[in-house]
Amino acid sequence: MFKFLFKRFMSLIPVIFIISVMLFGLFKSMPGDPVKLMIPAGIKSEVQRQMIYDQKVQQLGLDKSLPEQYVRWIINTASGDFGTSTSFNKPVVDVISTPLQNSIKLNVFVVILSFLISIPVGIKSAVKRHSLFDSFWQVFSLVGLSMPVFFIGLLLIFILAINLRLLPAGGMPFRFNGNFINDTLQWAKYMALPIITLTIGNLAGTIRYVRNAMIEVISKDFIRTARSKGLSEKVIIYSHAFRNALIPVVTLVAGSLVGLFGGAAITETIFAWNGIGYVLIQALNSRDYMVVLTMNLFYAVLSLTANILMDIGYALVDPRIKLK
Amino acid sequence: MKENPILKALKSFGKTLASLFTFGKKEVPVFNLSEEAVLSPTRVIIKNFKRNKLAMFGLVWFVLMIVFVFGGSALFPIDLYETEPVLRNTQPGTGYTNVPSELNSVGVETISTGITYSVALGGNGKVYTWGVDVNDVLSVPKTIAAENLTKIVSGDRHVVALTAGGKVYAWGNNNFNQAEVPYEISNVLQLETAVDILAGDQFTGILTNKGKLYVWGSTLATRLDIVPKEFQGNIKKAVASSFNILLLDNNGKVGIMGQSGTPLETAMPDYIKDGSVQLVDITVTLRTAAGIDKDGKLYVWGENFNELLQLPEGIENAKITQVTAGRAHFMAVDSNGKLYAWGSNKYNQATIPSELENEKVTYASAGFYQSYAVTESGKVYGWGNNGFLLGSDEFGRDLALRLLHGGRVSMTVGAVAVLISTIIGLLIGLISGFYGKWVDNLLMRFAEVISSFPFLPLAITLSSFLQGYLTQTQKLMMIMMILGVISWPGLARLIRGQILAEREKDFVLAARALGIKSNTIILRHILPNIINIVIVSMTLSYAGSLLTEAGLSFLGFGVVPPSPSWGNMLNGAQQSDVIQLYWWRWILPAVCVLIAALSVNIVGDGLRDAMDPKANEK
Repeated sequence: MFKFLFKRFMSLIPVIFIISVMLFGLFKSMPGDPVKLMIPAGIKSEVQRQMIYDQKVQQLGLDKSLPEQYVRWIINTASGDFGTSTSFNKPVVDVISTPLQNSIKLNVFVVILSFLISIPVGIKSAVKRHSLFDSFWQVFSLVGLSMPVFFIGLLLIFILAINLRLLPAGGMPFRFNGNFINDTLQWAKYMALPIITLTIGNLAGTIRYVRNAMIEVISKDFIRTARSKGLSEKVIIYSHAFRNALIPVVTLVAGSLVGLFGGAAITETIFAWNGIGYVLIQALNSRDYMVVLTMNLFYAVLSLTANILMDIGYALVDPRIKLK
Repeated sequence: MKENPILKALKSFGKTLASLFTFGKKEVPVFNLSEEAVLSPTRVIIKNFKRNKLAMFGLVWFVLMIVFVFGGSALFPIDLYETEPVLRNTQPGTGYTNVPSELNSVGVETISTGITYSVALGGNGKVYTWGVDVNDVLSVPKTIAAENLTKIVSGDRHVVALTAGGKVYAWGNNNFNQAEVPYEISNVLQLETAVDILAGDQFTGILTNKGKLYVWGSTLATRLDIVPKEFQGNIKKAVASSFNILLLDNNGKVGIMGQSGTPLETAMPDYIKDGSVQLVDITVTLRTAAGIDKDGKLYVWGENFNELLQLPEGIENAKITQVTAGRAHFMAVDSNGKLYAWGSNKYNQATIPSELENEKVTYASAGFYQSYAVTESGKVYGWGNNGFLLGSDEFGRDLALRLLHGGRVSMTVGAVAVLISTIIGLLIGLISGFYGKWVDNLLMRFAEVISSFPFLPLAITLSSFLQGYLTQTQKLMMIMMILGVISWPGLARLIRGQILAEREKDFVLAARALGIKSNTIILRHILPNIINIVIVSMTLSYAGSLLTEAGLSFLGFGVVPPSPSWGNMLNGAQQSDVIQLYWWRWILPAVCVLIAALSVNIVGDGLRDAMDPKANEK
């Protein structure tokens, strides 16, 4: 197990190296000069501007050669120093941390909700194929897959927030008074619409996935054997069939981990939720390279980690797969 | 002759593709028993697909959509840079010029036109309204039914009516208080009597019996509330355009107020300014004015926009009795009842209906982009902008037209992106699957690098950085490239897996034993076996690509305006007032994306089911 993990991590190193070089190269070849934007607007004298410019360049180490800059950046990043955001004028970590927490808060609920719904629904759909229940969820997932996420969000805003005035149309909770119940309610109110939107978006895919995996398993011979032994349908489905259908589901859970941290740029923008995707778009619009660079690296490492988790998950649910 | 293997592979690919989309071909009757044995795998797929009613429906639907979108945008070209700000956010509906038939019998006093509607004062003193409602302007206040109205005029979104007793009523859009008489002006009206009214873009004015003009509403930017001293108290007639009011005093002199420096002011001939030509009637389009003197001679000045200064033939010898102006066109009636129209003809507002050619016109009224004429027999004709079937957007552009062209862009971008990603994925998958070893390792690591970035953030980042200084077409190409270049790893892995499976099969071994080159084996023996999977994957990722384009453009990182796409037409929905008030601006494009993606998904699902060997078991 540990040997496998070690080997798997070792194989990541070249990948991460290539990713970092690619990202670094991409960001170095970008148009525009972020240093120019850092000079305070009040300073009019050309000489003074040039002085500040040189000072900033030196401070950021931009006067060094490209390989040297790359090595410095990698070392800094590895030691947890992600640089300074040019638009917020504070360390990138500080810029990202709160939105990251906000995104996680949102996505934990989304992931839990969508699995809580999609696994039972998927199983029932597979077991009762071509029933009314199955048809309903089939149509639901087909339409859900074809529906742009923002359309779900906009419809929810239109109906629940604007016409019925039940929930806020967007934004972050702000009326805290220290009372636990009140604060939780505040969060719930503002999180409800984004959560519903993202959950509906997720459900469409996951229900299909679980259903297809189950159908595949149910048609296997060992299920027939189990039936002929006279086992109860519950035992057959939940203990024999579902355990075997878990493998594809594990892929799904691992994939959703990326989503958990990765945030959802579109949904967060619609609901003005101060999450990580929202920050990415703001950073891009203000050409805040360090934030964008760090976030892309973060995403990449995240999905590589998810891949490893997926491998471990496979081994856990399927004893035939050995971690070699 | 030896045939080029690539060409041959392409041919078989083309055949497969073509066979997937030709249906209704006559089937050769075969005996039930021998049927299974005779059919090739592709034909089995087609047969299964055709049996699936939903999938066939999806296919027909999708083909219809393509025909509609591409045919429609070819038939109705679009001018990307043309805007009509005054027609912004009009709700879906047509019939702007559908005059109520009752008006034909009661006679017409005046007709006045707003952006989407018209109002008329009938010969019986009744107010008639038609067209599409905006700001409740079509619901005439009940109180005025009892009044004896003398005049009714319409601004862009509000209507003003004047009674014989000098009372002023107004209704409709009131966001600058243009639809209610201000307190200080109602005080003035106790000393003076209103004899004429005028209404423009979000402002209202009255002319009193002492020759004084009072204007209120949206006057802050244009200073329309400041009447020149030399005219105030001597004004005979005032006409309103968007930013100016043209004044005619009792001596036949013409003055101007409102925004300064417009062509109306700078291009005004001296003989009109100093009153050496005495005008009796004036009218004004956006920046061009027309007037007639007491001999019926027509004068025009101002901006030669839409060739408004080019008078129609025969008008210089005619004795003009009435001249009227829309937003960008003029109409004039001469003493013989002949009607002239010139200026912008974008909505056919300057094309006089052929029925009117032999009729004597007694009254003509032009407003915004609509035209009306009343004949001697009392029949009222209306033509011009008849409305927007699906409404208009924030720049007054026809949403239906933009949906057609946006569909063309969205569907093309999605298709090209999928094509690019399929070609890359197919190549890399084939090479890495067949050659294995270090080539495989290297390519798969590469695929891992690409796929380790979450799709949307990477697409947004790339698009935002590359968009710097590209032309409109280059930007479109760039979006296709980005979408294609970052979405191939999934397909490459799928194909690699398939090849690994196919490579071990006996027919490959047989081909090898025959001494066939590996290139030929890949292209001629293995590729045809996996092409079906590629097509299903293409179909399903096309649906995904439509959605991605929509999402990217919605955020402003995809197709950039003025090029329309279903995604960027939704861009306005980031403002809550658009969601709340102008539903057609976000529901319609989103529904278009939805039904396009849905039909593609249905087809993809149908294809996948048709290929599933289990579906063939009966």
